[in-house]
Amino acid sequence: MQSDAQAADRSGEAAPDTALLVAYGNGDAVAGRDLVARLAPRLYAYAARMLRDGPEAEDVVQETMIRLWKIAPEWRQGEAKVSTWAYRVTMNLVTDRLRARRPSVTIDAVAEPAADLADAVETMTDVARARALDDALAALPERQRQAVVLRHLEGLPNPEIARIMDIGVEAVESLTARGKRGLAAALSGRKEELGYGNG
Amino acid sequence: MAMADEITSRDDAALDRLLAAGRNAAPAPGADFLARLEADAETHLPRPAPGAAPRPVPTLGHRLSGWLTAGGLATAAAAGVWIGFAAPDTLNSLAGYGTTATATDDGFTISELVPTPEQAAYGE
Repeated sequence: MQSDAQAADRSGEAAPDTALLVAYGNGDAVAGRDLVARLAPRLYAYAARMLRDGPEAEDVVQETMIRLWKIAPEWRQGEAKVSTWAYRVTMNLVTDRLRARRPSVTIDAVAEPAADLADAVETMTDVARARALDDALAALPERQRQAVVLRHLEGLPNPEIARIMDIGVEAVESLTARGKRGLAAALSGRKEELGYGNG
Repeated sequence: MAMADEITSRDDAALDRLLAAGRNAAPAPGADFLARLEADAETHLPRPAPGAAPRPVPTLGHRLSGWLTAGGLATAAAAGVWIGFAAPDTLNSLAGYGTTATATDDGFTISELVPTPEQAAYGE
């Protein structure tokens, strides 16, 4: 696992983001625009999936980026991966907003649970699949949803998710596995068996 | 809260199809929003610290002001010396004393120490 984390740190994506941020910290405006283009779409997709609210997702991403700009002059090469830091800030802001809300979606609100997941998915259009997934994700416990979104929708490696969520890699694996079971349960109507009950 | 059965391979494949559809339908930020973020980046762009800024090139006025200051000081010093010599006579006149007051132990009178008008004019 340690080697996975080290491999993630050595991945080719980390250095350019860091170099851009250091350049921005030294007054390079173009580097700032490049960072917006690289980070904002990914952070927005994550925030929008978690919050299911576009304007709220925009607020969260804007706040994350402003915090990034403010910390830029103190950022040092090799300190951390910029995208990991940004995802983590976004995740914390999202969590704050989710906790401030009253629970609005429960597992019972998942649309049209099917008796057999595979059969149901087979008959759906891609749009319907994406919508069904969105509904099922909303029914997952928050930490499972974070892990599933980061792993299976944002495509991040487990070691990076572990750093974002401040947990071990094994805990990430556990959360994503339980999250997938939860998705399957939500979509196939077996929620009671998996213990999620009515909320 | 025991987790029940594992996902069947058939369900797992179905989930993968759902997740693939989800990846393809990722929420995307609007152009206006991205423009706002770029404007924020510009607003918060760090400016060079004052100590790191290059020193401005001195203007002609800056260069001359130093010489003018020194010239003014020199003029004031010279005026002070002249006043030092000339003042006793003037003060004595104003005070109503004569100009033949006896000088010190050396036996010189003040009038002997004060430069004549010709001597004073020579320095100008």
